[in-house]
Amino acid sequence: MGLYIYSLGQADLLAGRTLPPGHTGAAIEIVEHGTLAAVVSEITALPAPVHRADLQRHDAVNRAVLATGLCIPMRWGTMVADRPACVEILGAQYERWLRTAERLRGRVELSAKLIVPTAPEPEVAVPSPIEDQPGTTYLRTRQAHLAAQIMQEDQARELRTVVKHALDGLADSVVVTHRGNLTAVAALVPHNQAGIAAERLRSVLATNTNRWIVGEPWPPYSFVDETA
Amino acid sequence: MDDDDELTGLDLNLLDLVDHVLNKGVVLTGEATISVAGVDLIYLGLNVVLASVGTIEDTLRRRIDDGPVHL
Repeated sequence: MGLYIYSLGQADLLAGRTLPPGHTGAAIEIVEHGTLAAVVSEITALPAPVHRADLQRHDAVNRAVLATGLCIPMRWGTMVADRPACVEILGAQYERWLRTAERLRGRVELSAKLIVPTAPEPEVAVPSPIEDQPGTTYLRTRQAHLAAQIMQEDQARELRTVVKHALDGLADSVVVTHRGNLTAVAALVPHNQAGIAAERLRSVLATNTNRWIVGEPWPPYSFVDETA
Repeated sequence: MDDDDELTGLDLNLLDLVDHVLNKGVVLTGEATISVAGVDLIYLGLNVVLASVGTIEDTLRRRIDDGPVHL
C-alpha cells in the first residue's frame, strides 16, 4: 500500500474541490504542506500492464487540478509510502516548489506535433574497395548519423526562434524536441490566452510544408524540472 | 500500419498522452520516494551501490554467453 502522487497544486485552491477518481477508482486526497498540496490517492500497486485508460486517469486528475489555477504535474508512476513521506517530499524542497509554482501559476502548455512517417536515412558515402573495411564503414555511418543529428538540432533551434517570435508577449518559454520521427513544440502560455496563442501557433506552423497538429492545452508537463 | 498510412486522430491523441504522461513531469528522487514508473527505487539504489563495474561486466558477459539479453 502506498500513495500515488498525480501532481502538486495550491492548497487553498484545492480545498473543497471535487476531483475525478484516481487509479482503481480510489478517491483523490489532498496532503497539505504550507501553501502547497500534493494530489494523491491510495494504491496497492501500479497498473500493469499500463493501458490507455490508466494514463487518461492520471491526466484527467491533473487537468482538474490545472483548472484550479496551478498544476505541477508528476511523471506517471510516482509513489511514496504514506502521508508523512509525502509531507517530507513537499517540505524537503519547499522553496524550490514555491518557485516552480510561481512560474506555472495560471499557465498551460500548448503542444504541437509533427510526425514524419519515415525518418530520412542519412547518406553514407560509398567507400572505395580499399576502404571497404568494417571499421571504416562503421565510422562513415557514425559520421553520417552525427551530421543528421547536428542538422536536426539546427532545425530545432530555427523552429524555436520562429515559434518564440510568433508567440512574442504570450509564451514564457518554448521547447522544441525531436524523438525518432516525432517533432514536438511546447509553449508555456497564460491559461486565459491559450486560444489566441493556439491560433498564432497554427498560423505560423501552417506556413511549414508539413502538417502540424496543435492540440488542446495540457497541464505543463514539459515545463517542470525533470527531477526534484 | 504501413509507413505511408496517415496517423488517425486517435493515434495522435494516444501519442500525445504517452509523450506527456510517461515522458514528462517531475521525477521525484530521494529516500521518501519508493517508486517511479513501477521501478522500485530502493531496490535500484541498492543494486547500483553494491555492484562494482567488474561484477556488472561479469554478469553481462555471462548473460551474453548464455543467450540473448532481455532488457
